[in-house]
Amino acid sequence: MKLKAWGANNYGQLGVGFISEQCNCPTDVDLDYTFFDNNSRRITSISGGGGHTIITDNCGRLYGCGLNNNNQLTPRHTDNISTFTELDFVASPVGAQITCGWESTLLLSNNGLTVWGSNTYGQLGLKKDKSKRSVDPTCLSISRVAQVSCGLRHTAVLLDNGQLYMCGQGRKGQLGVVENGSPVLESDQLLHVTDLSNVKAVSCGQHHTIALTGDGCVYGWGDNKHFQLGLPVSNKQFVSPTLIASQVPINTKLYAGWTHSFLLHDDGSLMPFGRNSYGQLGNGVTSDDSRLNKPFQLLQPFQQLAVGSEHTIALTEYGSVWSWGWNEHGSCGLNHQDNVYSPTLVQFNNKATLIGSGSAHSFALLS
Amino acid sequence: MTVYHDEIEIEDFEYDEDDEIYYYPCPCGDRFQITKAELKEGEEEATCPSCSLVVRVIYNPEDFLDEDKDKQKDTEKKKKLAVN
Repeated sequence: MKLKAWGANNYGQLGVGFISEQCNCPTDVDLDYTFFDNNSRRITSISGGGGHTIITDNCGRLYGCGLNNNNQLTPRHTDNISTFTELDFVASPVGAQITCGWESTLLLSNNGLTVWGSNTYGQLGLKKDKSKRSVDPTCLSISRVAQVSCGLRHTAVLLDNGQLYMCGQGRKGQLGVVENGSPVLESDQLLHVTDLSNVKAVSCGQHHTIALTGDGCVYGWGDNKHFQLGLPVSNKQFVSPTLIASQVPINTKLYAGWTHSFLLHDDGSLMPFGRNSYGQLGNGVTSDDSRLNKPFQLLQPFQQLAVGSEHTIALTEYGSVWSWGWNEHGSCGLNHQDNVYSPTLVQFNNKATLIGSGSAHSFALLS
Repeated sequence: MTVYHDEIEIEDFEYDEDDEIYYYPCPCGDRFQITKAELKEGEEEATCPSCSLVVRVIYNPEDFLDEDKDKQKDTEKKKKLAVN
């Protein structure tokens, strides 16, 4: 097992043991691999925020590195950390899933949903404290959570019964909740999106949200300035869930970048829409933003995406890793800094089994 | 002419009262920033110290006029009202 990292590293978010402007090539992450190999430990999830990264392993451990200005890594200090350090202040049972917000962290396990870090906009679903930007690890009083997704300043919490709850900032309509005829502009409590039921998946972008329901419909709400909702009306905000596409297979995966979105179909094809100023869509087009478009695919079907703010890492069924998008910080791992407009192979000697990304940093776990 | 990454309303920036600087997250992970003094001078470009992206700040310059001028304006307004 080997974990590789590349892209922005100004806070030590790559965990390579040093802070630098960036790493343009995949670089070895500073981990005790003999410890991992000798104990049959595996990394099971990788998630990055604006400047931090958290990983979980199959033995219930949690490690973090990078920016800690809002205690998004640990409540014990506010120093940045350039090596993955065990976070033992919270129990992380086997099977836990980590989701990083911009400056916050959410841990979903059979213990419930535990959150810490920045709550400036109420995005952790906890009462805002004007004297304090961040909150210490707290288990939310909501159970049966199936999935969590974080935008820049808002959060979506999906329950296993298909009910969707939102909190945080809603100035662009990204909460999808209207009360007394007006969109909720901010909520530090989880609000039920009553317009939708039987939700199967959700993903949050900078200021937009997309969701898939069990009847094969994709809905979007929030900012559509760059067609990131796939709706053919730009410079408009949608304050309630609005139908984007129907007859979509219910095992389709949804991914939102800052101002673009992807539907990953189970045949491995990818439907991109939204902003394309830096090649975010990866469809080979170098022109402007795009509304809902034709899907494209590689010879090797896509299996998983890790979408940063303006770049994307993709894992195929054959374990190869591809990248595209904004590359000023080497986020694509191709040993250059030019933007990448089509999926391009990131060269490794071994197959990858897991990928992850933060805003402009990227990870691949090699077997 | 600068190609702006985005146009951001001043209300969406976070203000640091100690440094008198307005901040907004940059997609690179760092923050776009512009000082209160720059806004007073009519500057509208917020830059990121870590990358080449620039955002245009949408704000009302009148909101950032010097306090002295504000007082002056208030006096003028009062005078006008008195005349009316």
